[in-house]
Amino acid sequence: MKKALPVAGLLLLMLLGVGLVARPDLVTATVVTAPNTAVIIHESGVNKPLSFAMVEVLAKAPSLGINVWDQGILGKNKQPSKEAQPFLEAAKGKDLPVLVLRWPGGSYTVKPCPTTLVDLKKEVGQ
Amino acid sequence: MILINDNNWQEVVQESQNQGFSVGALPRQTGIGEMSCATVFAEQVPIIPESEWKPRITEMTANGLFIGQRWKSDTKLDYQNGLGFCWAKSLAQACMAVRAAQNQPFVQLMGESLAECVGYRNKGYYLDRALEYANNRGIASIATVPHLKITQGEWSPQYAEERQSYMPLEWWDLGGKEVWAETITALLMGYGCYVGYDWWGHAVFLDMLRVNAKGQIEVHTPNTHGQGNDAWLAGSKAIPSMGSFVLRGMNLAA
Repeated sequence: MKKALPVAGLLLLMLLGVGLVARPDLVTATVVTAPNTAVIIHESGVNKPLSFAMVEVLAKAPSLGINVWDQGILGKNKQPSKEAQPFLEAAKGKDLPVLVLRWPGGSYTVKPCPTTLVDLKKEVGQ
Repeated sequence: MILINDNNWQEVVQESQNQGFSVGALPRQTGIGEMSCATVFAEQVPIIPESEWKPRITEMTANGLFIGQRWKSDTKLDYQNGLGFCWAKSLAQACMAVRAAQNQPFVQLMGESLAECVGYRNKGYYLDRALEYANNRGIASIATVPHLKITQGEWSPQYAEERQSYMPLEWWDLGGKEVWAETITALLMGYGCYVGYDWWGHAVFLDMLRVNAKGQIEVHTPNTHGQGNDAWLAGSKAIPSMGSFVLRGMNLAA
């Protein structure tokens, strides 16, 4: 009997645990919604006026942990690191500026760079 | 902090000489757009209209958007201490600022590592040639090149390899149309400018703007003449006269 009590308690806890895991809201909470790396690749020239809002986005992005790369690094004979290469490949041929996101699973998403800080924060899950 | 304008610039130059600073910046050797690593700014970037300058300066300052508000270095190590190495020290500042803007970790870069340009001697040099050299070789950090040491024998043997991690890749060459408007535009876009002033014989990195009580635009430099010698330049003394260059990107190897 003395041994049965802890075992029953353990079973009860396990059942509760299963219940917790099965709750949809808690399951959702475990899904990662933020990328693990974000990079803005932009071009500040080519006769495109740079709006104040975009200046703010580019200037504040590092404080959100986002890398900001001018398209100059995409030029000929440039040798970006192995870590940078997939981001540059993902942005290839796209209209800049773009936001490149790498997700925990290793996949990449490329989308037009948000034009406001608020939208940028949303994109990176902040 | 000093303010340099059309009324006091001669005193500032005299004071610089008294402190042992000889001419460090020499007139550029190339024409605008002749360097392979620097495209002509005026051909690629629309100038921000003058009517927008002051409102943008106010907004940028309030929101901390100037590059001078977003980067820091070890100012003790930026100090050139009488060496005629402003052309190198301010170039290193430009590189460190861009690394911050790219969200790369801070590394103290050392202008001393460009000493090959002047035969490892204490001499002034050309801004355009210096940035070409750095574009090809890179700039070493404090990890391999100590402060104020300008001969190879005083450096770690690893400097040549290490500097390749810190290469300023792409520049804009300003002055194709109107160097002052282009310089202001670049600063308002969040970039910094590596510039030379002939009246001062000095190269500096410009990183911020403000409007003074008279409504004049002043430009800030974290001057490499030592701590406390940060300067605001006003009037004709603010206008770059020996080249104005914007570094767009450092390599991503580091």
